[in-house]
Amino acid sequence: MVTDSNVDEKTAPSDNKPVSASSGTPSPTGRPQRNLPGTKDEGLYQWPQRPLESIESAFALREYLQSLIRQDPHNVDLIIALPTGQDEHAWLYEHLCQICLELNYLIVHLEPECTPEVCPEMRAEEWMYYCATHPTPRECCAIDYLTHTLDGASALLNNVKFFPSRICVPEGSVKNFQSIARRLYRIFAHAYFHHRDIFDAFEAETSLYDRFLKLSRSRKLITDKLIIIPSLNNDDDSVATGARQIMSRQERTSCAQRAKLFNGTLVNI
Amino acid sequence: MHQFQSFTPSQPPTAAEYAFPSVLQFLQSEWRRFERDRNEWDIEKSEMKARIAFLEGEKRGVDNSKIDLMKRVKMLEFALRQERSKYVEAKDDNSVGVPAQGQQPLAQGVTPSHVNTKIQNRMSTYGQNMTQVSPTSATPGLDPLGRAKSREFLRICLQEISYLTASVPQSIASAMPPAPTRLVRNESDRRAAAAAGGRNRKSDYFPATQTTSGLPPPLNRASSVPLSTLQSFGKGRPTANSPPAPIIDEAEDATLRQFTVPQSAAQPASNRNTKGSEEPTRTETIVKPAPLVTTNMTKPPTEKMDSEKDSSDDTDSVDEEPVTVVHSPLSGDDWHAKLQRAGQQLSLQSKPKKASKSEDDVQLTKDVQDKFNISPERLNKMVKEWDKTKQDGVGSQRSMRKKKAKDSALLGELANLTVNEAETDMGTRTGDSATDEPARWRPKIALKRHLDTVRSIAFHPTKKAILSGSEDGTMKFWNLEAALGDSRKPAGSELDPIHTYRGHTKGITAVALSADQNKCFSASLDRTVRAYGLVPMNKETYARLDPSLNLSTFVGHTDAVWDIRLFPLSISSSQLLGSISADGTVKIWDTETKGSPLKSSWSYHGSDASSATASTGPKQRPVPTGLDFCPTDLKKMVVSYSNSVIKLFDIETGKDILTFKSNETYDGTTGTQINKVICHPTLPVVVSGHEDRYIRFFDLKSGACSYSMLTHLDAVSSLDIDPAGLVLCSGGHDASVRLWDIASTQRTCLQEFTGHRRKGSEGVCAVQYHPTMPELLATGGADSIVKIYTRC
Repeated sequence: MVTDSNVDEKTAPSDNKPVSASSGTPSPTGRPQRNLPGTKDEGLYQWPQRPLESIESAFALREYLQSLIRQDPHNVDLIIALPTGQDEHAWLYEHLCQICLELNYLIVHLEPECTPEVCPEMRAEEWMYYCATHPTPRECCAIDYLTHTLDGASALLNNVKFFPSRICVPEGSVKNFQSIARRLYRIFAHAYFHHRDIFDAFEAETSLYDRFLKLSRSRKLITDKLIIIPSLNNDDDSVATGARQIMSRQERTSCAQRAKLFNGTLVNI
Repeated sequence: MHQFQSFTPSQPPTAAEYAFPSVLQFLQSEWRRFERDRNEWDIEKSEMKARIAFLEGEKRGVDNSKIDLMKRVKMLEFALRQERSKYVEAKDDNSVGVPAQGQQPLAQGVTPSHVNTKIQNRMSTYGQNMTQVSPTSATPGLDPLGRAKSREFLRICLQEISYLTASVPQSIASAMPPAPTRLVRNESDRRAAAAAGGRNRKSDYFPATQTTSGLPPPLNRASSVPLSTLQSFGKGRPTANSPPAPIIDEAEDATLRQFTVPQSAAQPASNRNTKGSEEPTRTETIVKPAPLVTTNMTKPPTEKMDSEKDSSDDTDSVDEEPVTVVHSPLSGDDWHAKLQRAGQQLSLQSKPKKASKSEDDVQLTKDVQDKFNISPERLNKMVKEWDKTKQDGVGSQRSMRKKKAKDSALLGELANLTVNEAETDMGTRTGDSATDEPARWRPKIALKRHLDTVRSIAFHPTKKAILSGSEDGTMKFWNLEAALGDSRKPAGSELDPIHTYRGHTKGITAVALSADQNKCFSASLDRTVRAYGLVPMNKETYARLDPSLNLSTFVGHTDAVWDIRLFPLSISSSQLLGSISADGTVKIWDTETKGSPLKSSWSYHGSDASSATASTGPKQRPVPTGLDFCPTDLKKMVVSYSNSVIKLFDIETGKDILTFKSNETYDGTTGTQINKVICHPTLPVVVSGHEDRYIRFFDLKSGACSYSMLTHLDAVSSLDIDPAGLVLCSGGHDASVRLWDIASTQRTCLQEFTGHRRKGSEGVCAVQYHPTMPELLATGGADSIVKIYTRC
């Protein structure tokens, strides 16, 4: 087969870049940082974590973030801590992208249960939300609101007009983070107040809400008065009692809201 | 090119020593080249044959329509003679219709400008005759009787004509007017019109339309004639047996008017006789430019029919210009180019024929040219247009025979026909352009909405739409119609997917799209394959979520599913889908059944379980890494394995048929595995892309490696062969996309470009040609972007 490769080298035309013999994989360990087709579950992403400085690709921050999350999704403080020497906004941007990505999976879990019949309106506690992805904000049902919001956030984060680079974020685009975070929060809120089982299971698996909340609070993305989900403790008992309280309160408020639905529902866009 | 290449490999043997493998290889490559050449020649031959058949058909069609028209001329002449005698009698005997008679002397004057007024009057005379004279029977019995007779005769004539001219109803409809119109014109008018025609492109094609500006009333009446005639075609049968309804009157009157135009012109002055008798014939000639007038109308057919009805019902209406003016040729330039080609040959053919046929025809042509100041070129052009009439005419005739359709239906079908023609024309053109090799691919659109590596893409087989599956767990469907249509839009413009499919709980590894079923499929690391309904192309991005889109989930794999492939054909409402998984199995699913979708499943050693258990344990069992169905042998599929082996399986039985000799560089690790395997669309060739940067070609029959080449700086991740089977596109984790000329023996690299930015050790993850539009190529990469390339 040596002849074959030689033939190829020889016949490689001028418009073809000569194929060098050295492997293009820069991985120092020799193990390429990719999942080859056929990789088994336990083999996925099984490459050693590298320090951020040694990652050379254009997606260094994202790779670093994803590797942190894969390592331990529940170590939220480590995950949201700004790596030294990195742009704060760029780090925030990557986090929001990653949260959008993972929220996809929350919606997948919600979809069978959160149907237009069950949740005809996008509500969370006593709040009702209008979907802002439309030219004029509309009263979408919950699942539509969730998907639209997530699609809209992904579109905004991927929009080169606002976020032309992954290295730094233009000053003018920083304010978008707040609106994105505010809306993403509602997805959590709806799941929490209306699909608590799913929310809890998802949270136990990913700690996504915890991460999101800590990130948003530390970066002042969401004001405290908008935070309606009671703080989650790892203590199971308090969570359970908290949930019970919430449920009863929710029932009360929903009854009350039904009464005053048309004369002053708390509406938020 | 081929010649040249064929000689280069023949030199090394003379210089080097003859080694058995090299000789063998040389012979093999030579044989392959000959095979390929022969294949190409065959294709060329069949193309030529098709072309010949097409041209012959065209010629035959033109001949037929010419004969038809000659018949019609004969008939019209006969009818004319009959009518003339009738009219003379009627004029002598009938004293009714005083106003008409009062004007008749005028009409018989030599000045042609009066002819039309005369016709007009005569029409009214006839109308009166029919409604008043016959019932009162104040006139001698002979007159009504004779009239009734002639009426009957004319009706038969009309039927005949409607049948014969069914092939060219459109043309007659719009082209008849010119004859009478020209008659009324005096010499200077004509010249002006011709001059204007030279300037104006429209009038160049449609001499008649030029005259519609500042129309005198007679012209309006004249132009209404053919329309009512056309109408009578559609209703020809029923009217023949029913009592004369107003519409029939219209139709007959109209026809009568046609008949009488030349006659009345000829009657008063004998020196006009020759010209007069030629009139009908001449109209035939002028028929030629007509088809575009009517067939290419942008108005909907029904609307057009309405306007025609209106105009024919209301003969005094002056609003008839629109009918003749409504022409906006929607045909593209390519269509014209083709017409011109066909027309040149046609005019070459038809001209000598005419000459040989009779001297009259020659004179006719000359006459027409003289009369209308038409240059020979213009005549040619008319002939070219005529070519189209014929095609449309054939269509209408067919529809006439099929069912005595309502006029609108007929026109509708005609409209469809034209559209189809345009489409096929486009198809051949794109086919042609595909053979023009040097066109370079240029990025056109970047689809940036995914949040992580795009692992797989799939074009819609016929539409400009693409499906993309990403590591972020979503599959997005993009409508590229608008973005590709608008050439002014910059490449970086933002495009939103029309739908985002969610359902997997882990990253998506592969997507597939079935237009027949209107479904799409995605495979994921979460061990499932999901089927969704395809959203319509006009769906809005933020429309309501349709829960019925979630069709089914294929559960059965016990580890990550790494690739899926749809069977190339859907047979009798069953569409097979093959999937491979890290659990070591290949599974075939029937995506249409309501019950258990899983049809069969087998592991490395095929369905033969005994040998599977006898060999290695499940731990060491090689894992499938790629699969493809063989378009050249639909009973089989190829599966590549992590030990760099490609196996050929029988789809039905799952039997292991053949093991390819593909693992020459396998070193026992996944670093040398096969990442992708595809089958050539037309040849029994299998192509594999390897982790160790090789691309290898295998013979499907023998399993022998026919060619092996180092292609990328990093692992080859994806492969696709263009629909014509001449170019291989490969994407690598070195972030580059390369195109390889697999039609030549040397498999040179035609083009290389950086496709995507790297993330981790990944670069380009998916490459895909559009299956039916050779001008589209797409790549998906680790930078979460799908890029669409075009070439032109």
